[in-house]
Amino acid sequence: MPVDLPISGDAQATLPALTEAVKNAITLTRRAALADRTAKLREDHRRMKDRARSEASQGWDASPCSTARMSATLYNTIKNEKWCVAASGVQWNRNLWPATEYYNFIGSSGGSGVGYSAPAAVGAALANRDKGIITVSIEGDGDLMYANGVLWTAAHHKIPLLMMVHNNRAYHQEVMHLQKMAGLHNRRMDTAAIGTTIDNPNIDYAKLAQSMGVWSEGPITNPAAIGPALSRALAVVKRGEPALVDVVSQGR
Amino acid sequence: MRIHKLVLAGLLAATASAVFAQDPPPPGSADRGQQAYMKYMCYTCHGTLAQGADRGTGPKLAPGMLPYAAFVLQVRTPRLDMPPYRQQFLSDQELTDIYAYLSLTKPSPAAKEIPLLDF
Repeated sequence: MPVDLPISGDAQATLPALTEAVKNAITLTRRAALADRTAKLREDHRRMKDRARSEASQGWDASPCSTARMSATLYNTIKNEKWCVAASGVQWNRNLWPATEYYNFIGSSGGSGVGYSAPAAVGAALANRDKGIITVSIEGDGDLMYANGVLWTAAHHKIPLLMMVHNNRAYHQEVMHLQKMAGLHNRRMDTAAIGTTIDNPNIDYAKLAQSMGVWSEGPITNPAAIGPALSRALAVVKRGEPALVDVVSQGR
Repeated sequence: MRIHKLVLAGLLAATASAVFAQDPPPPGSADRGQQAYMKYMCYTCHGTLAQGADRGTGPKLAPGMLPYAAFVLQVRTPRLDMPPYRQQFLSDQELTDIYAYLSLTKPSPAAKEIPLLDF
């Protein structure tokens, strides 16, 4: 593309001015068309949210706890704060939570379940610490088994991070994959549990965290107990320390 | 063309529903069905209460179950990502028991009745 005057720019610095320039250049006709499109998108968005809430209500009182309830409870705990989801083993946050700020979600690794979440969340919490942003993560239990020494790092350096463990007691995506493979290779379906479930003994992530100096509660099996535990955890995080709440959860 | 397709889909759905709805399910034990549901790990994708799961892993199964014949067809020769549960590993009686267990599933509260979802 031919360029008259090449100037190196920074997206964050340039986009607000560019956005205003584009807005001012829009004709009245075009503005009306955009308003129509906006109305349709708002309606689609409202329907999508309603659908997500309806799906989230299914199994609401289940124990092991539903991941939708875990997500909704976490949101209600931090909704009055500036918040950031640094990592999450569930997708409900994206479907349910009203994210309006650039720092609300920082994305994912692209290769979940192999130890990215906990170190990434601690790093994000360190970066957010001086910005007044409450950093939270929903840690897969299997994922947390890869590099749980980072809990000590968070305690040692007083990095305020609220971690909720999505403790389905399995490397769950592997469970489901092996179920598929069992079907494909004509094997018994219950063989999928071999080498993929994390039980017998069950891991107590609250004790694991405590052993490294991190405030913690759990394992929680009563879904009604999640909210109060998260509130206590938030109080710890707000005084500048990490906290972990271990919730025994549905597979997904 | 689109309307024709919708009409055709509606007719097919109505016909299938009528065909599958003809035979009532054979009697089964809900207690044994719950044990089989857990043993064969149906819960991994569909949840322990058959409520379905995050990320489109497995759809909600109940309440509002498929007719029995359709349920058997889906379990034995599934469409989409579900693995087949063949007769040599999951007997007809176990399948009937699972159906009986799922049939007792109570509805979850409506989203509008849940304050934590009011945001």
